[in-house]
Order: sequence, then C-alpha cells, then structure tokens
Amino acid sequence: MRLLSIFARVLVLLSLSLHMMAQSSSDGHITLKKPKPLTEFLLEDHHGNKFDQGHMKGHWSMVFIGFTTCPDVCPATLSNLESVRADMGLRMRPDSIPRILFLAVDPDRDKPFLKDYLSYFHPEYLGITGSHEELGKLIESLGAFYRLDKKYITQIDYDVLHTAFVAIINPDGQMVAKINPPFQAHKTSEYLNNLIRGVVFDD
Amino acid sequence: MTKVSVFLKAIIAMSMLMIASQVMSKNMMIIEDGWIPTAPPTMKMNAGYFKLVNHGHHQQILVSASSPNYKNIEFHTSEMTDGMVSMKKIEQVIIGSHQAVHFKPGGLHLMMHKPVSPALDGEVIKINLVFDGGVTQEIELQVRKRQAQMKMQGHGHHH
Repeated sequence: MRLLSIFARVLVLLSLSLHMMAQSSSDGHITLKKPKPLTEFLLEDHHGNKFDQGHMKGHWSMVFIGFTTCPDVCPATLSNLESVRADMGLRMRPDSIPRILFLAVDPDRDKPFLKDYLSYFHPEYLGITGSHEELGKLIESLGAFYRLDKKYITQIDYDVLHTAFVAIINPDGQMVAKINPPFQAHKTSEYLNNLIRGVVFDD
Repeated sequence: MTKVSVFLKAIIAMSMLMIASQVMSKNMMIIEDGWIPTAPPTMKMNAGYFKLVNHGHHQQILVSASSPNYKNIEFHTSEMTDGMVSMKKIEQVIIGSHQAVHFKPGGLHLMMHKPVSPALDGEVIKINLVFDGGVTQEIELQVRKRQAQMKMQGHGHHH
C-alpha cells in the first residue's frame, strides 16, 4: 500500500517535471523571457540593398545562420523551414507567416553566389551578408556564433562552424525565440503559431 | 480468391527477390533510397544520400567513392556539438555484418565536389563505391527535390 503511494507520488512528480520541461522548451524551442532588441548593424541583402536593424521591422522573420558552400545542413534546414511555413499556411494569414532570412557568414565565398543560391530555393528568401565586423554585431546580438575553420590563411576549402538555432524576430525587430533542429514541420509550426498569436509558454 | 491472392503474393515476393539479387553486390551489400538533392546550378558541391545494408557475415569497410559526374567525392559527416553545426571528413565507413549505415541529411553524407554539369531533377547519377579489399560496387542515385524526398519519407507535411 505504502509502496503504491510512493509509486504514485513519483509518477505525479515525473509527469509534473515532464510538463514543466515541455513548457520551457517545447520540442527544443525556447521562448525568451522578454523580447530582446537587436543592436545596430549595417549589412546588405542579396539584391544589393542596404539591410540594417530597421529592416527587421514589419515582419515576423526566421533568421538562419549559414553559408552558400554548405551542401548538407544549410539546404536541408531551408527545406525544413519551408515545410514549417507550408504547415503554418494552414493555420494563419500569409502575412503573419515568418519570412526566411539567410544570414550568410562567409562573405568572401557567399557574396558572388548568394543571389543564385537563395532564389533557387525560394524567390522570397532574403540573403543577408556584409563585413565580418557588421556580421559579428548582429550575430552577437542574436546570442549566436560562427567561425571560419581555416587552418591557414589562404585555405579555400575550409568549413564554417555556426550556431544551429534559428532566431525568431517579431515585427518590432526584437528577438523573441530560438527554434532548434530538427525543425519538424508540424511541431515547429504549432510552436510558432502559438508564439505569434501570443500564447505564453514560459513562466 | 485466396488462391489467387497467395499466387499474387508469391509472384510479388519472387520479383522482389529478383530485384534484390540484381542490386546485391559480391560483398552482400544492398543500397536503398539513393538520392541527390537538386541544387543551385552555380553550386560547386552537393551531397549524396543512401542507405547501405550489409547482408553478409563479415564487416565491410567503404574506403572511397568516385563518379564520372564529379571531380572528387569524400565522406563527410555533419555534427552538432553544443548547438554548433560543423562538418568533418571521414576517411572510411565501417558497415558491420547485418548492419546498415545511413547517409542522410544532417549526418553522414557523400560530399561531391565540382559537378561536371548541374544535376537535373530526375536524372540518375552513377557512383562507384570501393570497399576495403578492392571490391567495387556501382550505385545509382536519383536527383530529387528535397521537398519531394521529405514527402516520400512521410515526415514532411502532415495534411
């Protein structure tokens, strides 16, 4: 009898902690406790237009950090995010669905190909790049990180290490959440749908 | 009715066996779900994905790959450590007896450099795999859109 009651208590505790875990990071997605304004930065989009913190306003955006010579993770992520957007299309008005911003952090190799690369995946994706100094400002503001993995200065075929999460920016240009791989379409769309509609997850 | 269905099943099973035996190599390897994602025409590299199943009693070691369509091919793996994504070159891939190794997005993949021509949707690309001991196996990877592949595998859209 006593054993049973302990067992029951453990079960209750377990389900409570599971429930709390699900609230604070639902499927690896994290809602910030309060929206974080972005720092000032000056980059350009893949059409050659100026892109600064002011251009983050007026839309929901998903900011993905990547580089154009990445054949596996970056295209797979873009494809997954497109599936998320398609799923969101079933739930909300098109103008509330976050646009995709591809923050290209390897400007020397990215700049010549960024336009081709992004318009290939979707005509509405926006590629953003610029100097490492300006990229660094935005990256730091997002709480993200990247590094060109060059063993020597003239190396051409180097890898680029970068943060995997995708930053969610609200129409006031503030970062409000991080979504994490594997970006499962249905779950991620459900999370973003609640986030955009103002349903609060976090305590 | 049941006789017909048993007969049909037998035919299906036999034809499946025949298909399997056609692609089974000398070292008892079977390739499943081979595909290459369509990519921007300006891209100088692409990834290749497939599942390698070792039906033999001995482990096999995949040591290299080549293709008339690419200048060179390496084995790479995408890894996530502490929230950071990076890519690492792998010298060889070991496939244990009765084990499978899956080359898939976000993990182990063929890193194929410098395409001779852009891979077109639907095109079939031949890749030659070389195993330790010198056994070679030609495999065919079909070029597909990533979205189409996701739908085929059923973890894309949930309509």
